[in-house]
Amino acid sequence: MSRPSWIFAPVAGMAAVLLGGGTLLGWWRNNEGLKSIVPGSSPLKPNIAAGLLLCGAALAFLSLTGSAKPARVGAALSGLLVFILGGLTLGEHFFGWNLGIDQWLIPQGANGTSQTLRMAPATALCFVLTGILFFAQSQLVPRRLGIPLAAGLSTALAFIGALALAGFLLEVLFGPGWNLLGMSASGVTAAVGFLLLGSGVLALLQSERHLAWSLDAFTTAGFVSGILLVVVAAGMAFTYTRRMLETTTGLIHCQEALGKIQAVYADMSELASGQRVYIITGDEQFLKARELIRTEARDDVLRARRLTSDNPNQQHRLDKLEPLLSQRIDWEERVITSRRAEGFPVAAQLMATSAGVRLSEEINGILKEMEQEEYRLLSQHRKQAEMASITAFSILPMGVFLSLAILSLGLSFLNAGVTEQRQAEKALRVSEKRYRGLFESNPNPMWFFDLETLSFLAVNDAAVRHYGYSRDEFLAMTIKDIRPPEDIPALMDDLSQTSEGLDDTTPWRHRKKNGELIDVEITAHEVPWLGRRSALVLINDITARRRAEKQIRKLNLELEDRVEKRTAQLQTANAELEAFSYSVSHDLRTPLRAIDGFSHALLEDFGQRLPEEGQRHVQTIRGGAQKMGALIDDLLTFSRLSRLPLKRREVNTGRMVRDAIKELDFSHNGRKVDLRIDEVPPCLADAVLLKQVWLNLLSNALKYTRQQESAIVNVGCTREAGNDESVFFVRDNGTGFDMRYAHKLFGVFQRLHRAEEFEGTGVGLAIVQRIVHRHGGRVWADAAVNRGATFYFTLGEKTKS
Amino acid sequence: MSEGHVEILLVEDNPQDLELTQRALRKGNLTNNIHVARDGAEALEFLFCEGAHAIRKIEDGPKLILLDLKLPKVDGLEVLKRVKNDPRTKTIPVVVLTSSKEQNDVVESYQLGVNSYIVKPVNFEGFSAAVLEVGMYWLLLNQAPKMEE
Repeated sequence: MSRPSWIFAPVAGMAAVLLGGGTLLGWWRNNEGLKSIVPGSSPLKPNIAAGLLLCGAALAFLSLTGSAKPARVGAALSGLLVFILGGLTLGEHFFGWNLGIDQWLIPQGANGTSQTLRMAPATALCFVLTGILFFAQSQLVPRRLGIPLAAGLSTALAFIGALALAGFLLEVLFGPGWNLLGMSASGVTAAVGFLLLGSGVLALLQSERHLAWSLDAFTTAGFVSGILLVVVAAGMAFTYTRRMLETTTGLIHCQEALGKIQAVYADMSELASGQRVYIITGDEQFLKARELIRTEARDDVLRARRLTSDNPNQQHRLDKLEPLLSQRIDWEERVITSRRAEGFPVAAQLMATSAGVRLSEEINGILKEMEQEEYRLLSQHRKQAEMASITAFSILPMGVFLSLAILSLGLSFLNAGVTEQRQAEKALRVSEKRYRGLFESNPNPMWFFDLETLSFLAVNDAAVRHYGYSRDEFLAMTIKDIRPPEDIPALMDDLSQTSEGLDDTTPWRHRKKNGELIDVEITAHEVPWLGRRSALVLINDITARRRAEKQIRKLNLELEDRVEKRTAQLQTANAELEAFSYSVSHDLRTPLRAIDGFSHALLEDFGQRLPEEGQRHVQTIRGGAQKMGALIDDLLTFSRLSRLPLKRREVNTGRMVRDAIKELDFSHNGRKVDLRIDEVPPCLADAVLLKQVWLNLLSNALKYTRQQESAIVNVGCTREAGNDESVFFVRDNGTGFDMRYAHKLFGVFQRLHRAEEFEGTGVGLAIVQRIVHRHGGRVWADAAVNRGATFYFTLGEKTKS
Repeated sequence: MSEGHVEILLVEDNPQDLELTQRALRKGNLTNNIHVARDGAEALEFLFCEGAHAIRKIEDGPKLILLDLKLPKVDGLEVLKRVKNDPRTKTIPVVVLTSSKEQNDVVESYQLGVNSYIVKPVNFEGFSAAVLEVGMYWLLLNQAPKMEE
């Protein structure tokens, strides 16, 4: 109700009340200023004023109370009253009734008025229309009929008022030719009143949202301008026809006046000739018709005066003519009297005087002037009549043609609009069908339910299948009936909370017809259903999923439990292993030391008593014991490797290699080894473990080049093609090995050489492999028998260059 | 063996190891005043003059303790701890002589204040050399702080 039209309706009503009421007050108090509120117009008639007052009040009341019941009753009563008023006045006009209703409010003649108080037929018709309008607006007739009726009538009223007002204003501005409806000044105030009432009711309809243009603005504008053109053309044709009529009347008047002037001339000639004959003959018979002609002449002059009443020049000439005529007739009478009394000579002498001739000449002169004037007017009127008829007859077909053109244009637009609308409707039907299909054949249960009553409005086949209820059973239930009773408070809570937009996915429990409870996920949207607030609901049965989830959770718990148990077992095993290796370290070595120590003691204390063979055996025992000690040491190192945590940090590889070489004492036994250490990049590794790798590889190189005259050991780093990884290597020119046995190279206790050739436990390369693998790297070898061997390894990370 | 001036307390449970150690010491003429304890408890009794050794004075030594770690009753680390935690025995050099190469034992021993940690080699020549070197060093070369007065 915030539209500007809301305020217009009561304002228009009030204005009509002021107009009518003010005028009535003016009549009552006899105040001319109040009587004619519009300046220059004649006073508004009391009945019109009363009608405007009544209808204005009804309009203001309706619009201010929002069409409350008392306002509607008031509007109906006002409508009825003005309808009766207009109808009776029309009856007075057309059937000559005299009901005295015009003098009912203000008696004729009172307050010094002399003009008639009866309203014009057009005004009376307008009141009949206004009456119907207010009756329709009172909503006592069915709204389907009442609203279009009220809209049409109010438009017509406003239009008539506006047209009359416009005609009047145009006439004031540009002259009489522009008054489209020929509206007299007296009707202007009434026109203002009807304009106010009509536009006020239109605004009221608009504010109550009864007026909604369904046609597009272009088509509407076409039709409105077409209708306007027809009305304007009709109005102009009417005006010009009326003007033609007026000029034709003027033409006839002119001709009549001309006739009368000529008649006067003829009368005068006849009188003069009669008198002349009598003077000569003295025969009274020639004077017989004289009296009759004199009356006739006087009548003709009178008629001429009446016919030329609108022409002051002719009137003036008549003023001069009349005494001259009397003088001439008097003179003739005098001559006749003297002939009769004194005889012919005296009369002939009188006749000879110039007095009579002079009068005749003067009379003839004036008559001639008048004749000429009338001829001039005649031709002028004829021209005007011709102009008016040409204009009238050209405007009408032109206007009709133009308005027909605009109307047909409007019609074609309307047609196009209707075609478009039909296509849109078709598209809508197709879309509707598609969505219906989407609903009906959806594999998930779907339904509509009323958000007020919660009852089902429609369910799809999937819902019927899934829940076990028939469609009819569904439609007889509410959504509360498919829920377990304990869930209903939560449901009501949810519905009241999400009444704005039910657009969420929530888990619920539903009950099937067989009583089985299922877990569902609901997606709901608020969708209007035949004017009702309803929600479209999509149901996703998640019972199976829930069950699976529960199962998974249970399994997970069990798994965790099992992992915990296994971890504990592993920890126990690890602890046992540690204890075991501790025992091995401590307890296995002790008896070995005893074997070696006491063998040594045996040789020391009783060596002389033993034969050489015995001494060699004791040495063998010692060698075995020492070998076993070395094996135990290596095994312990190897097993420790997997237990210690890896601590990576940046290692200066070059320095580490040099340290290892120093530790290994390459010049032992006076050997000469050609050591070639290339530039090697630093790396990220566990320093303690990496040192072990270098030690093992370098000591191997040293060991297997023992038999070479000029041993060469080369340490370096390469890069594999397409890989950033550093590949460190240790190359020697020693005995090498057969690549067929390369797969055994890194196994624990695996040896490719006989113990007599090269001592060793067979654990060193296994330790290297384990350390490299713990770093995520790879280790491999390339060798040939007697051609040396190369051991490569990486550390599983991109080394810094 | 007189209890008056004990120079070396040898704590060793294994009889063969004990004999080999004594043999090695004898080779270096370090046989005088060696007291042998066969387990940790006995070692502690001797050191702190308790039980059978109640008449001994704690100030009388020994000058060096050769300690095995794996001992019955009270283990070597416990003995080491007690010795190094007591102000009266703290200054006595303790050399761990053990078969264990376990890093844990080495670290813990040094944390407890051991003076040397020696892994007994299987090889007797090595073993003998190690025992002698340690005995010589701590008894003859090392200048011990004056305790009392």
